[in-house]
Amino acid sequence: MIGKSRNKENRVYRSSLTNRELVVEPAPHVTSHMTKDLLMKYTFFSLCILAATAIIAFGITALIIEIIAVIVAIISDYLLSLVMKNKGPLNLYSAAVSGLIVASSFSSGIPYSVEYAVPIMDPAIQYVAVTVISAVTVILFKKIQGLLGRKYLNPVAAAKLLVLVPIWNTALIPQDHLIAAKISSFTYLQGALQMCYSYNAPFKDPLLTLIILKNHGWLGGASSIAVIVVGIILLIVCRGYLKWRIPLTFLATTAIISSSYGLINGEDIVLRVAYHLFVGSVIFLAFFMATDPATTPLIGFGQIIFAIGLGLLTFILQIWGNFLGGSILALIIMNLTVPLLDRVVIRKPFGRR
Amino acid sequence: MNLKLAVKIEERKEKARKAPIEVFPDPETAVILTLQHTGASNVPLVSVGDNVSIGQKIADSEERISAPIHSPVSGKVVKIGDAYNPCYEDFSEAIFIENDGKKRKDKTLQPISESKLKDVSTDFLIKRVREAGIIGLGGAGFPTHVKLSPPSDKPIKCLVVNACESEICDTSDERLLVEKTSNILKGVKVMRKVLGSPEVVIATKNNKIEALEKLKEVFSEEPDTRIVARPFTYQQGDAGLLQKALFGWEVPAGKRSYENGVIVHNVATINAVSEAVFKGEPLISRVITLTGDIDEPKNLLVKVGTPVGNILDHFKVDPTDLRKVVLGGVMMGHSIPTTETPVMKRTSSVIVFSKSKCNPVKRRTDCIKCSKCISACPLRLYPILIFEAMEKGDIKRAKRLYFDDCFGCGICSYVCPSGIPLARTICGTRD
Repeated sequence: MIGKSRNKENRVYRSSLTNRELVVEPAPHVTSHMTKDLLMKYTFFSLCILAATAIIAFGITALIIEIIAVIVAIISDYLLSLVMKNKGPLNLYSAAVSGLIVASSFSSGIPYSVEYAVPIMDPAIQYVAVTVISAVTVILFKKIQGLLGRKYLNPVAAAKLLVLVPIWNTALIPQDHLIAAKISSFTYLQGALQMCYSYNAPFKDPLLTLIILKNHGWLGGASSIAVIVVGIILLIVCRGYLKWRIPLTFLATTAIISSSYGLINGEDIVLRVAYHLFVGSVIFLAFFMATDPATTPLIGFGQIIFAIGLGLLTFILQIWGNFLGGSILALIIMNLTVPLLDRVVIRKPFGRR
Repeated sequence: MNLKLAVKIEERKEKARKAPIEVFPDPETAVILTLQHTGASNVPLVSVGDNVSIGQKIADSEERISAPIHSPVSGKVVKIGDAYNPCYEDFSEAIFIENDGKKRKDKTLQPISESKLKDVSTDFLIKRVREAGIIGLGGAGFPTHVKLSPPSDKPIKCLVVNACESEICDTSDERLLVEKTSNILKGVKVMRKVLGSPEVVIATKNNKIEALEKLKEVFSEEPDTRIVARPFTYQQGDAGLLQKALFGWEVPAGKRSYENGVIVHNVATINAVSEAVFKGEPLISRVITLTGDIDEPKNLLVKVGTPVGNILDHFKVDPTDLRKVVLGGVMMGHSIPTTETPVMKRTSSVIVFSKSKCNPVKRRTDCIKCSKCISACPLRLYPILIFEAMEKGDIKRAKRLYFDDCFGCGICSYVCPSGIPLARTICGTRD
């Protein structure tokens, strides 16, 4: 169909015709304003707002943790980009976002009330832990994992688990949870909420504490209401580019399971549901870690399955494992199912129903 | 596809839509590609040294799915060689005619007066459309006479006039609607006669205010005619998606739209049909939009075969500042390697990208798996999965993901935050 140069004369003509100064590019010749960097910028600024709420709740320690995490992440990214050249290009906003997520998912492990039960984690140890997690996140799980062609594990969650497993008892699961925690029992839950969350908090009511401002648990989840508002605004600003189905399904699953659990055991359902929804590790992870594009399913159906699995696992780990930051372990487990979920192609194209 | 969630693209038509159609001077040398339609290739009917007149048939084919080519100027054939064919992105056969400026006209096609339309036969009209070399001017370039003769067991109930002109920046169809409304009415009458008086639906965007007023005025007395003005999105300019938007059904994949008794014609095609029947003029000129990074966008009536360079020179586009020239629309058009490329029947616009004003291209990075392309695809395909399969060379999986269905609207590449050439890979491999 396409005329080929048929003789020598034509070929000469052909080369003289081609104006080498014109650029030939494939269609389309316009692109949307959204780029990877812009997406990261929006995420970074949203996280900055949450970082501010953490400073209000946790004080100066939170600020130092955040600064350390971001700076370490950026430095690691910069140094690695020098070593890896094209295979791991410099991506400062992405690194800064990772750093802030490291800080936000860090739990100081200080239940203010039960000082007798848990040795307060020394700030110096916290800073070292954050430095290591931040460096491991960027070096091992962002850059080196990126070489595999596909990221299998959420970098921050994987790094946190890897670094904190050796000091499991103090940092990952605060000791008081291990000694006395029976989250499955409502009396404990009520007492724990009263003690852990309301001791130094501005609100005496556990429900309000959980929703508005708490000073226990993950830094990023200090204010659940702030996470929800900022998260929803981010989802709207970057609509289509962030996977809104995951936080929605995850939180809905959590609400349904915890309310049925409360119903079966004849508990105060509102408090039970509020606890499982608004504890920092759930609410922050739902909006800012479980929506990480690279490690979550591509297809809407897969995203919903992923989020249901995440909700179920988180609940199981919390109730029967007493693992109150358990959502990151659940996230890592569900991350491994993503390559499988990506192969499930269900919707039929136009005109093939 | 949900209209509200569809990707919306800024149209950039404000200036161009107010520019009246200007007649562009005939070229000194017309370069007429022999393959301008979708279908079988044509064979030149003239040889070097022949004298031709305006409207003389210079290339044709025996095949059914083909349309002849006519000379846009009178003069002498100086060469039959290769010229760049933007639609096939390669050099293909072209006839070079030197204009002698005498404007001799070929009288093969005799005009019919409007009052005699009811006396002529359907076959005559279909033959006239074929002999005038009319093809779908919306961009697909499918020979119109084939679309006008559907199988007899599938009666056409509805003729859709596609006046959406959803391609970004293009305003040529909109100017036709404003300036040639009566021509379009006549063209619609011809089509109705050929297709057995179906209902007529004129689909246009509700932001073409001037065109809409004209349409309402001119078509007020035409029976069985609806004018549908809605905020159609860019993707809904496609015939299949437009039918979905208008009637709610989906044309079965791989079938032609007359299965549902509907036929969609572009408004520029209808104008060409009217000119061919009532003025006896074959398709030798068309309206194009000259736009992009220039101060005053123009709508021009250009002879087919005019080299793009002529147009750029005439409007003093600085050649040193030229970065890229795109023919046939920003989203689906093709960028050309040389300004000697001629205007084709299918070329709806010439878009200039200058070095100084052009936005930088997105840097190509790894896929971040945001899944935006999947939610944006109007055909509900999985662009990134098809892309990955093709990168691996796994054509079987790509087939299972129905990559054949893609019509290359380019939305996936448009939305991609990582600058991955998805549309190019999916559509380019198929050709």
